[in-house]
Amino acid sequence: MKNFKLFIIAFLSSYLLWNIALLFLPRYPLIYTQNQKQIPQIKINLTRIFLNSQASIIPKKSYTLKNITLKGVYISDKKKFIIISSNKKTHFINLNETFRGYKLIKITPTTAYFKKGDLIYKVSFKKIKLPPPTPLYEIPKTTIKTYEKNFAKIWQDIGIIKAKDGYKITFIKKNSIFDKIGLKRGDILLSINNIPLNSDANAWKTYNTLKNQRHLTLKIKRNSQIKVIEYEIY
Amino acid sequence: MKRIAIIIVGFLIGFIVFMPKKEIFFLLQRVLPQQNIQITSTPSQNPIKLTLFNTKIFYSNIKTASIKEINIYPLLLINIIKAKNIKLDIGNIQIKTLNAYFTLYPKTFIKGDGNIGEFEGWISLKEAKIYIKNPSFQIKPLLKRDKKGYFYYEKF
Repeated sequence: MKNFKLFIIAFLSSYLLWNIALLFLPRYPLIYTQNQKQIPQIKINLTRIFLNSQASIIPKKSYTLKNITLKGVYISDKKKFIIISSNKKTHFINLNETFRGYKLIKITPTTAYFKKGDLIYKVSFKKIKLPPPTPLYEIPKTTIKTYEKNFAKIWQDIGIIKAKDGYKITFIKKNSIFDKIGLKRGDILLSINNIPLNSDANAWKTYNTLKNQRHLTLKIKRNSQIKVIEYEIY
Repeated sequence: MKRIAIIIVGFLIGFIVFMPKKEIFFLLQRVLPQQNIQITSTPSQNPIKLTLFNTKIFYSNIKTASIKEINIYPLLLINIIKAKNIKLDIGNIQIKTLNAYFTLYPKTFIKGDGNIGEFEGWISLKEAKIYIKNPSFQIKPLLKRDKKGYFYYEKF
């Protein structure tokens, strides 16, 4: 009987202890919901509209100055100047300054205009040969929604495994969307919209943001060469 | 000596029975966000276990796993977690049942089965690795290998 009393006292003392602890413990749960809404942010620089409102000189006909190459242009509210190279020498010319009899009358982000007598001369940046345009594929939004509803279908149409620097495509079902959007077996997916696919966490993060995207840039490694593929979601 | 044993046993039984399991879970809910992990669940308790229904685990606000039912038995010397219907949104992994045993031994033993086949292994919390004994061919590509065996490692 004495032992039973001891047992009950010990048993109830733990009840007392937990009641004291309860004073410091939270009583209500926290409920989390997935927040996926992304508010698009558009930056409009209104000051530029007002500052560029002054009337500009538009030359009707202009000639190109030979042996002079435009290297740089600096345009700010207070100062405007250009950097040119002539006979392997570099010159800095401020707006309204004269260089070899040519007066610099106007500077645009790509061209500088000079005046000599009644004639207008211009110097522009050298045209750079652009690399061939990256392929652009269109993906209907309904396709993404179908995969969203039936997640398992993704793994029926494409197989991927983790590789060193991304995810390697092990198979692609013929005529599936993955086949139509330019992916091939053996490709290594490196990044989507500049988010590197170097961990499951990043890959998952990217997958969850896909539904809200209208444009995707996929970087892949194919036959040891890096390729960029652009996608439009409509 | 007998009396001391009775007191300890009485206290331990009371400690398990009267443990405010739900409130401890609420405290855990408030501590985990520091590690970027959030848990949402409907808890219910009885004297020996805490049951969490429809648990959703978020990592960085992204749902990464959902578990239909988790039973936690905080039996002090051996703590048991039994989970049913785990769906990992990464890699389309579905686990029917998962049992984990925490003892005073530093390893946490796990056993389960799902669409990746039956698996057995242990978790090394120190190394943040999950070791799987004789992994099935479905999960072998996801695992790395070291002297101790095949393991899964993800540094978040």
